[in-house]
Order: sequence, then structure tokens, then C-alpha cells
Amino acid sequence: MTITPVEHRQGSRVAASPLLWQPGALESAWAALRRVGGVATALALPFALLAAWSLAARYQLVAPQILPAPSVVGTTAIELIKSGQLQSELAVSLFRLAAGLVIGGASGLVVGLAMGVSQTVEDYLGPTVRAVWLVPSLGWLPFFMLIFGIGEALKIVLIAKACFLPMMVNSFDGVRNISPKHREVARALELGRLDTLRFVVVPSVLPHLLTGFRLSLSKGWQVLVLVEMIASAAGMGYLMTWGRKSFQLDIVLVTMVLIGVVGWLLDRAASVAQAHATAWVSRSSG
Amino acid sequence: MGARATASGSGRWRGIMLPLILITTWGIAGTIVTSKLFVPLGAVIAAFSESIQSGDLPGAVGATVLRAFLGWSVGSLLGFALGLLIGLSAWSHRIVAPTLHGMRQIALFAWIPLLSAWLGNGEAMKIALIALSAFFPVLLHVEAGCRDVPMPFREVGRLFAFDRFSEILFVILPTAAPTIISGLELAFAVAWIGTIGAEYLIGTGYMNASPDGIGAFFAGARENARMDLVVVSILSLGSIGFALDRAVVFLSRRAAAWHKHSR
Repeated sequence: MTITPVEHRQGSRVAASPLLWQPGALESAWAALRRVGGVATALALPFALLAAWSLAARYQLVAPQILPAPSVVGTTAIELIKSGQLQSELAVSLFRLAAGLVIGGASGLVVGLAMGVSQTVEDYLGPTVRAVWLVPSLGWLPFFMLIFGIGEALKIVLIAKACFLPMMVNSFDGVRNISPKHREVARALELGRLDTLRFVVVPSVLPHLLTGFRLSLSKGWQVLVLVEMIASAAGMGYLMTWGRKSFQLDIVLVTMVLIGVVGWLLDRAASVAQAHATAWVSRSSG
Repeated sequence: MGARATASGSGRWRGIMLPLILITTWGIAGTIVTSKLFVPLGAVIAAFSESIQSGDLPGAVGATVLRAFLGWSVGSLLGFALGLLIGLSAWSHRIVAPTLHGMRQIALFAWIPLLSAWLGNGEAMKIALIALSAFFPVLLHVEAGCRDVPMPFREVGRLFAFDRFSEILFVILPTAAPTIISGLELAFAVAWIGTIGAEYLIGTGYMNASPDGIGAFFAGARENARMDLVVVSILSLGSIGFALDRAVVFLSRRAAAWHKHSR
């Protein structure tokens, strides 16, 4: 850290006053306090809502069928975990997501790379693929239902469809954005095809691929919930719709929270992995 | 998103090749294959003209577009107000933002069971879901736009001795306008999907109401196993969504045209 004139002046003033602690210690204590305060203020609103919710439930301002008390929701969550149902539904959902992600992501990767490398492929395929993928996943659902029925294939196909586009667009962009300068350096160094791939292509494409993967993951999770709500006999979305149909809103609330938390965790994991794998990007560009 | 314009004329010609081949194959296969799942090209065209003449499809499209715009306006207004609040006031940001970002993690359609228990299966529920879908993109963009106003701009405002209201009106909002407008564009794209989802999922099947709109048209076509109508729905869904998206982007570019010149 460079010392600017202002800081220097402040520093000398602090040194002149009879203070027992270092100015740095004060700052870090202040920062820690601010962090605690930040968490506390962030939790204030959820707690206020929770308090209002429990009061409303206790004095029966709303019917329990419409808004069960927080304690009921908590008990239901514990019961669902103890009986193992929540875990098994979640496992079913995650397996579908993984299968769809592998199929859709891999084909998106291949098509995107092919279109990025070859202008001819891009000319022939590009407009059609983009037009077809303009129709949202939801639009394909009835069509796929008639073709694949409402079995396991339907879910995986629809998730794969949702994962395809982000992966394709990003791998295409990755190849197209390889800097010509880097290619020229590779040519000047007379690198072989394999070495060019290893030292030029993969490092420039990788960040884009990881972005595509992350987007695919979050898109896939959204579509998974949707398709399980419409046509499924297992999984998070099913548990949720089932709770709604039997008017057990406590189950609905538990699954909603779980869907939010799992979605957040998946995105977090992907972005941490991305930061690890591409840490050199900010270093090299700086 | 939008299709990337190919540079050369031959590129455009090549782009038509694949659809032409597919349509020709479809047309030829229609004379050979006989399966309930396979719809010949002619049947789709017949179903298309039939549903236009009966007024079903235009009516559905009208209802959907109206609903999408209504939900989008409601959600955008709320998102704008809250985004302004958390973008401008550090205190309200600290209090409200974490909760909002937490709620954002819940997939849109996962709100349906809870909201439908509260709001029923009528129009209010559909509008609420569409508004919810438009809310978050607008919120995030307004917040970002307000926070990223460069310091010199604010200093100019202080130089003019603007009060808070004038500062927002003359300094912050004009600077944040491009970000806010792209937030509105994105929100419309999301709200379109939200509208189809709301129409498809609410007021059909076990939840009976009076369904209308493309989503309900779609659900009905599937329920009756009318593959020709399903294909008609997919095609109209895609093309109208695309046309609306282009129209919104065009209008917003017009609205923000001054911004390019002021730079």
C-alpha cells in the first residue's frame, strides 16, 4: 500500500497524540465491529418477519391452512429429515440435474466449439440453433411430454435442453475471443498443434466454459423444479406440489427454503470453482 | 441474445439451408410415416389457419400479451421503487438487501404452490407471479445503476447545491438510465416466460378456473393430445416472444437515444 499525503498527515497526527494503541489496531477492530453489525442488520428484517409471522399464527390472524406457524414448519422440517424423505427426494432431484447437465452441457460444448472453430459450421447451424433455442424450456414441455411421456426421460431431456444454450453460447464466445496476438505468439514460437491447444486455446477458453457451466447449472436447477412440479412422482418439486395439494403448507415452505438454499449452494460452489480455476486470469491481465 | 448477423451474403444463404432441408424432410416424411405423434406439415398449416379463423389463437395471444405487460409494469414499478431505495440509502441497503437476495434464490415457479394458496387461482395470482418474475431483474439493475454513478457527477450536483430530490432527478436517474433500461428489457424477457408459465400451470388441470392465453391454449392442446395444435403453440410462442422482445429493445433504444449523444 502506498502512503498518500492525506494518510501520512493523519498518521503523524495520531502519532503526536498520546494514544496507547496502534492506528491499525483501531481500524481492524472497527472493521470487525462493522462486520458483526452488518450481519446483525442483515438479520433484522428476517427476524422481524419471523416475529410478525409467529404472532399472526399465535393469535390466529390467518388460518393455519394458509399460513402455518413457524414452529410447525420447523417440526415438519425435522420430521422430513428424520424420516429420510427430504434427503431421498433431494438425491433424486440432484441425480436428474447431473444427468441433464452432462448430456446438455456436453452437447452444448461440442456444438459451441465446432461453431467457434469453423465459420462454415456456424453459417449452416447457427441461425437454426439460435432460433430453436429461443423458445423457452417451458414451451417445449408439452411437446416433449407427448414424445417422451412423463417418465424419467422427459425430465432429463428438458434439463439437458436448458443446459445446452448457456454452454453453447459461452464456448462459442470463448473460441471467438481468443486474442489473435496470442495465436501469433504461438506461431512465432513455432508451437505444434497440441502445444497451441495446451498453452493458447485451453487457457483462453476455460474461463468462458466455466461461466457457461455456472449458468447451465442455475438454469438446470430452475427447470428441474418446474418439470418436477408438473410431471413427477419424486423429487423436490413433487414434494412441494404434493404438500400444496394436501394443503400442508408447512411442507411447501420447507421445500421452498430448501430449493433456495440448494440453488444458492450450487451457484456458490460453481463460482468458487471458477475463481480457483481461473485465478491466473486477473493476475495475468493485471 | 438475438441472432448474430452474419457478415457475408453467402453466410445468410447458408443459414437458410438447414431449415429448408428440415421442412422438406418434414413435408416428405408426412406422406410416408403414419404415427399419432408425427404431425405432417400440412396438418400444422391447417391447424394454424383453423385456429386463426376460429379466433382462438388471436384471442389467446391478445390475452397473453396484455397479461405480460400488466404483470411486467407492476413488477417493474415495485422493483424500481425498492431498487432506488436500496441503491441510494446505505442503511436500507444493509437492512433490506440481504433478505431480497435470499428470496431471489428461490426458483420462480417454486412460488406457485404458496402464492396460489394465498391468492387463489385467478387473475390476481397470475399477475402476482409475472410481477415477481419481472421484479428481481429490475431491482438488481436499478440498484447497480444508482450505485455506479461516478463521483464527479455527484460533485457537480453538489456544486449546483441540489437538494436530495433534485440530485436524484437530475444527476442519478439520467446517469443510471441505460442500466435501468437494460434491466427493464431483461425483465420483459423473463416476464414473458413467467406469463406462459402462469397460464400453463395456474387455472388448468386440478386447479379449475377460466383459463385463457397461449399457455392455456397450449395446455389444452396437450391434454387433448392434439399434436398439430401443440406445434402451432410452440411456433407462435417462439415467434411472438421474439417479436415482442425485439419491439421492447427497439423502443428502449429509442427512449435512451439521447444518452449516446450526451456523452
